[in-house]
Amino acid sequence: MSPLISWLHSSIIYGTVIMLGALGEILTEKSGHLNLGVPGLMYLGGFAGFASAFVYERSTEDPNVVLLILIPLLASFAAAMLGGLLYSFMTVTLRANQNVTGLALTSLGVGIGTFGSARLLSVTGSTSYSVASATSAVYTANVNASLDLGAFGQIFLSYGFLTYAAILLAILAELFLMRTRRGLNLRAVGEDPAAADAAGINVTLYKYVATAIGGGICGIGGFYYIIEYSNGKWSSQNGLEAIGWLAVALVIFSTWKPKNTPAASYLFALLFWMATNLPTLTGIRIATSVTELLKMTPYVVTILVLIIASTRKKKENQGPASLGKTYFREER
Amino acid sequence: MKDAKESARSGAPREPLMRLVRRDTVKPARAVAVRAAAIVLSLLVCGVFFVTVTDSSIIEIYSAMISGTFRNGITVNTFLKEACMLLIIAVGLAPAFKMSFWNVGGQGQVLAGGMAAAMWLFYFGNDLPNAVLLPLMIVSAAVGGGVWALLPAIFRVKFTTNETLFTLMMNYIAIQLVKYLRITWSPIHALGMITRKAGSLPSLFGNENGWIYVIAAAAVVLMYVYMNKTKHGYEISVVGEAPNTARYAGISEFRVIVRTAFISGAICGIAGFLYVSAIDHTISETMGGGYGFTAVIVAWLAKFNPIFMTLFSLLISFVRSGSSEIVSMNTTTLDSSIANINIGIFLFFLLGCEFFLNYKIIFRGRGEVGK
Repeated sequence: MSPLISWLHSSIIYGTVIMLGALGEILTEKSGHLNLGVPGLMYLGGFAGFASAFVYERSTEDPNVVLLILIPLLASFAAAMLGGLLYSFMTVTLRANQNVTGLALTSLGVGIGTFGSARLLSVTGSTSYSVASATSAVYTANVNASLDLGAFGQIFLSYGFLTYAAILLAILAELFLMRTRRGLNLRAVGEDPAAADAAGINVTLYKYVATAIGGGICGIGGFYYIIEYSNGKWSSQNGLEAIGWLAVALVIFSTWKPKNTPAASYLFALLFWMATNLPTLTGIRIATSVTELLKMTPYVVTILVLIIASTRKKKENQGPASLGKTYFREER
Repeated sequence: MKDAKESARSGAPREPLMRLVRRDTVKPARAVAVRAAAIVLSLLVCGVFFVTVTDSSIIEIYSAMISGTFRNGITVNTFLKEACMLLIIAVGLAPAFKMSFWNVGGQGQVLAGGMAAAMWLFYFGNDLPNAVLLPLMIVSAAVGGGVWALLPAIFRVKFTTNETLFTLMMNYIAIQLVKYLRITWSPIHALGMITRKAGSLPSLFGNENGWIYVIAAAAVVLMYVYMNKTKHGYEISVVGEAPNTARYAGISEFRVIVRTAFISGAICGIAGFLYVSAIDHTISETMGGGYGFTAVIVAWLAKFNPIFMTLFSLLISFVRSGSSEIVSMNTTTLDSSIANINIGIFLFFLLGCEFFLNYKIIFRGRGEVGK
């Protein structure tokens, strides 16, 4: 691959991780709940998906392809969904503060992920990472690998199926939110829970389901990170936590619209990889210390995006009106 | 959980099985009892969790947790030191939350303060006496941490930019900056940094952590006075609870938020100074090890009450040192991340118990008539 193509390639993979996190968070935020637990959910999903694949691969000589796909996918979704349910139990039913609960969920999820990875390492006896190679092979199987279609194939067809499924998910989420009755109800809950309640919408149920499914999608994002981006390797020192925060920021960047997430996240990822790719592309040699400085780019860009988004006060680009507020029916 | 679902479905004319009423005031006795119950429950869950992942019985677990913390002077000192560092950061964050400014950038502010302090060490460590060096380090650490919180505050007031994410991103910028400085600075002063005594806080009362305890205690007391007995403190609570009232009363929102954010960051910066000068004697991006978030939760849970803040910091430090004792007994199967799980469990219980302080559950046919 040429340096330019490999930059695009890694950006699309990295962007997909952020996109899945952002899609899950958009769904959650549409119910009026700002979940700062996304990094924790990604850890939970990534770890559960990886661990289940790892255990399954070791339990059988001849792994079944369908099971190789289904087991980790369901495990990662379920584990992160449980995290989402814990969050909604705390914030919807017990009415705890959303920011604080989210941060606690992040601590817990990251803790569980690192703890679990250490246990897996003690199983394998390896010191740095454990690997689920058969699962990774199934998940990264692509058209380009067998046909070799040149630059076109390298840019567009060299990814595992989840990469395309993520785009499909963005479209489906957009259709769900904007074109279905349930989507309308969910948006109503996020905008004005009291009005939605009065209209007979089960506010609590919508909040729970949106948070749980949103959490599950974040979890798949974490799993995708392990299986496609890290080629099926799980090590305790992975960058999932930072990605989780970028996903939360990307929700604002894509103005709470799922249809904007693919483009926004690919752009984000391009900037993320700029620091390491631009020097190779232009042939400029850069000291390692300066590379560390260049790695700030995505965070600086996120800040700039936040500022720009906040200076433009277009009504349709704002988040749900009740975002972050606890709904208590008997108040007012 | 049931009550909310029940009440959400109550299209039926029958009075729901139970409903919630917000409590206006909480009796101190009840506040203590509910929190104590949550702490006991969370320690029970932590114990059960340890029993499932180790071969020890629950009694062995608890005695290990206690002896890991109080066995001797060294363990007690570590326990207190960790509690104090967490407490200083929590005290720093508290005034920001009081005015509804979500400063989750504690870690970045600690690092910024640490970098500002370490800068003096690297460039003037050999030339200046400690009496000159230390004050310079403290002041610049405070300014460094303050500036790190100031930027998000300015944008928050001017453009209502989301300060939660802004401060979070500032964490990562600080992390990268530390990584850069470590590489650029290390060729000059290779390992000398760690052993050298320049810029190190002297021990106090014969205890090398003495100054950390004094600074933590001073931070708690001064913050209590600042928040409760000064005009600034009053302005903070008005801006936090009723921004419109603040505007009407002529309190400048810009001035209060920017000033408070700066103070908030400055205290975190001083924590960074302590890491550089008294604990690590160098800078690293893991300095402050995740206390940024834990401190947010401590400050929030304690409702900015300094006594509760101290208590929660001590408890979290106990869970941490107890967990690491159990890890050291089972090094082949466990690693230090288990402390984070236990702290997570602990925080969830404390967060959950707030519900029983803020709301009253009334069962059908009981309580006030009507509604």
